[in-house]
Amino acid sequence: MGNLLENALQLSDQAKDLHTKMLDKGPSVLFTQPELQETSGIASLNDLMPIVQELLDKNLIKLVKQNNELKFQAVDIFEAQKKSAMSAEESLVYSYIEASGREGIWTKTIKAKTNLHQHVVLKCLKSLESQRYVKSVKSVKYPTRKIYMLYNLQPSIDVTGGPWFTDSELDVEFINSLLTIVWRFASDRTFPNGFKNFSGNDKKELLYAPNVKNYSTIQDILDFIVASQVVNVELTPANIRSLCDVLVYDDKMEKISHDCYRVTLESVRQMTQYGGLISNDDDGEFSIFDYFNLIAPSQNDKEAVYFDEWIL
Amino acid sequence: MASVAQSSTPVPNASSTTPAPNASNTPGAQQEDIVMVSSLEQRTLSPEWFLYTELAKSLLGERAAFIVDVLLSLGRLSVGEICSKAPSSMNARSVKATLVSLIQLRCIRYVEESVGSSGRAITYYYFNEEGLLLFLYSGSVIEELGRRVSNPSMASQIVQNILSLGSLTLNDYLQSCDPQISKRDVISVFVQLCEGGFLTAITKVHYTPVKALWDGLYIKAYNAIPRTSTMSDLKKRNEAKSKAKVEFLQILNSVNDLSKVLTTDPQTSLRTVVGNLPLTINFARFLKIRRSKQLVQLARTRIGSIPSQVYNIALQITEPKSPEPVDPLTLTGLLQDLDEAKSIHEEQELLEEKNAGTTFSAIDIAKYLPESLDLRNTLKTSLRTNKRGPNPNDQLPTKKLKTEDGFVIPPLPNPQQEQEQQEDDNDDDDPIDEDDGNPHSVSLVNGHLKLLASTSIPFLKEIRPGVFYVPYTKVLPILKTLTYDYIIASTLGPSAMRICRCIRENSLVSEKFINSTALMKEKDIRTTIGSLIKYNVIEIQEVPRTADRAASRAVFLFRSKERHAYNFMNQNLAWNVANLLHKKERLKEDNSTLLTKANRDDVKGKETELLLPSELNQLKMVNERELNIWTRVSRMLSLWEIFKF
Repeated sequence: MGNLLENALQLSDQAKDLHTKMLDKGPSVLFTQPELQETSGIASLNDLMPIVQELLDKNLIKLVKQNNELKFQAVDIFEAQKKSAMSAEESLVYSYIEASGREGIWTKTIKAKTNLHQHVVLKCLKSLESQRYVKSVKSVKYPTRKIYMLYNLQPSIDVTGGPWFTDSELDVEFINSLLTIVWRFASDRTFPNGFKNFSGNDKKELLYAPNVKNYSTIQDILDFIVASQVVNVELTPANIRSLCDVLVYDDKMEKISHDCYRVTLESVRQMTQYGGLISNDDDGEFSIFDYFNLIAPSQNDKEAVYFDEWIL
Repeated sequence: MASVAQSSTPVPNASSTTPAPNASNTPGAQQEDIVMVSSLEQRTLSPEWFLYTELAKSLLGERAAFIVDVLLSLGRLSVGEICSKAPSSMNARSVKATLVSLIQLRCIRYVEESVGSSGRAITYYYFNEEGLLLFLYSGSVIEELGRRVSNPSMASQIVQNILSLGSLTLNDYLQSCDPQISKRDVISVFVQLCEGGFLTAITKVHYTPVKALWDGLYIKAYNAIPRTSTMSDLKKRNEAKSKAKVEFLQILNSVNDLSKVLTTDPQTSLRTVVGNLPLTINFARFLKIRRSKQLVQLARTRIGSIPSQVYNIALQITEPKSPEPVDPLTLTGLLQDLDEAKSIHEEQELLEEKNAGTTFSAIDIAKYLPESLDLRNTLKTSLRTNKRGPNPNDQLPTKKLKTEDGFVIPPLPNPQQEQEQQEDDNDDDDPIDEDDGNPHSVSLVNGHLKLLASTSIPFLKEIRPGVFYVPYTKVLPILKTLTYDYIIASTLGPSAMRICRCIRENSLVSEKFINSTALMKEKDIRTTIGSLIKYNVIEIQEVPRTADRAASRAVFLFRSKERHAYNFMNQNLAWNVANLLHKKERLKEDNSTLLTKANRDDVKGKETELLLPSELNQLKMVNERELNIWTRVSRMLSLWEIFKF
């Protein structure tokens, strides 16, 4: 801290004044040269130049190229302090990592951009990491790449893969529990007594008449999930849509129209092991839809039908 | 698990040849090896060949199996050609005798062709799977047809006789049947079976190969166009084709013509069947019953058991007029032509809607609904309200304001209420009277029919308000797809089904895409895809990324080709049915000594006295296993027919 103050004190008054003024406008505001002249109140470029140079030397100003125009950006004193403590290579590497923002940057890209030797880059990264200036994150898109970003940044969705990923691994358990929640919610809508509609009690089957809107929309499901606070990540309608699509692939839901879904009876039957009014059926005809998850051939069964027997 | 042991073995034909010589009784371990080796051989041949030869061997004997074998492997053959392939134990006479009995059982069709310039006629024999399919389905044919008439036991007896003899006339049956049975009853069962279309008069069409019939008609129509005609050849062909089509369908439809079969008895003036007309089972009609069953099963699992019972009635009353399960035109080779294939498909679509007798309304259904089915309180017309939160209608009833002249000031419109009102209005379009005392009221039936018509699977279609028809061309492909999916789910697991459906929906996908849409781990996806490819469920497409098509840089995409996949499943199921039959034969062979002993006349009925306890146990085990096999066969058949027809 003392060092920092010392550094700050070493600034000329004019430089300090300009820096404060720039920071006042906001941390990430970019200044063109005329704007800088206006802000500082110094009309002559010859007078302005040494001040800017001084700030640049102290890392208190950053040069940014935007649309082929050179612009200046004020840097926080602490940030500047960080940079001045680094070696030249380190600060070079750091600046590229900083520029990559939330997307992060691949070590190979750093090497190519900085033109430094691999060893040097690795050494810099190691030292930056140990000082907690940068961190390495795992990318879902490129699981083998080592990607760096500033320590205080939250990786973007592209890198983390969205809500389905925890520590860049597909969180199957989380997805499955959400699928169950979505299914249960929709089944409650689809059948008059929800998924307990077909629990096989002597009660008669009750169905909704064809004109009843017994489907659930994406928004309904999202609202329900948000209201019930079962998840701690933010979900978008698109996320719910992909959940519903998975349920459609599992034949647990059917799509009525865009973003409107209904639970299939088949899935309810699986859930409750409900066989329908079999007793009333005079023919106990075999149907794959009744038996598909009940069949388990035993080892000693000599007549067991194995579907892969024919395939060599 | 509900057992479905309904298949019974048909009585083997009297004219069938000697039974298979028993394999020498080798010890058990060696026996297993033989099974393995033989099944290896069977795998390399076509599954249908395996099925039909196995079936012919077990029901009709070795010689019949041989003829089925050569005809299936080599296509059509003349007697001379069959004889040249025959083993030394079979001479021309026995070949001919076997052919005759096979023709009688509709296992073989024939056509006479003149060869060369001499005009010498040669009869060529074709394999006809219909006869063997009838044997395969014999149990359910007997049961189903029995169920459709008033006297099931007599009907099953008649059907059983027809099955074992191939065809039967009424007079023959009356002569041979028990004199105590009333003639009138027998005749009435015959009439019912014929009226339902379950029995038809046997004609030359039954023995003529469809393709040969078509070719003959086409060539005749083509040659009928004068050579001097100025038409282009393409036009000539098209004209011949359309003429032949008309005649072809006419000939095939004439088979189902009842006027030749049914007459009025001059003595009693009751309807009767022409006495000397040989009758046979109409297999296409039976397939319609199976098709209806499959659809009812599907409706039961997709919509509910009560609508499915309504659907069952709908299918049954339209069955006689519904389109054939196998369109004969598809057997002619015309499908090779895309335009023809399209027009055949359109024709089918039109038929199922326009044919008289294929449409029905709720009134028709209500007539046939069983007494036990009570439709009251099965449909709910409004959403459950407790989930909606506080009901706005629950507020205190507003006091009606009346002016002096009696005019009631209407309450201020409440937007929410209005919405409710609108929903109620919708209800009014289609009132379902819950208070109606009639459990089969038209409005209730209509509600169920609408339910069937409004789901994502088009079980029914409404052409005019209140008038429905069954869109077979739309619903059957869905039945196929769903059955396929569930077979995949039951054999390869639910994750396989998820990936399979994901690929089908998105047509051409990469592994990453599956990863992000099916939300599964890459490792799991890769193993599942491996097994899916083994079963031909999906195909791989390689997309090279570099000019040298390096495999390491290529991207692999997956897609599903349904025709291919279903065909594979069809064959797989056929092979499994065949394998079960094969196992049954092995079982009988292994226990042949015991079985011959148990079947001896002096032992029958006194098994407990004359057989050793161990033999009794063995016999019980053999019987149980056979029953088990038949159950499995009938289950496999119910899957197979979906892909086969």
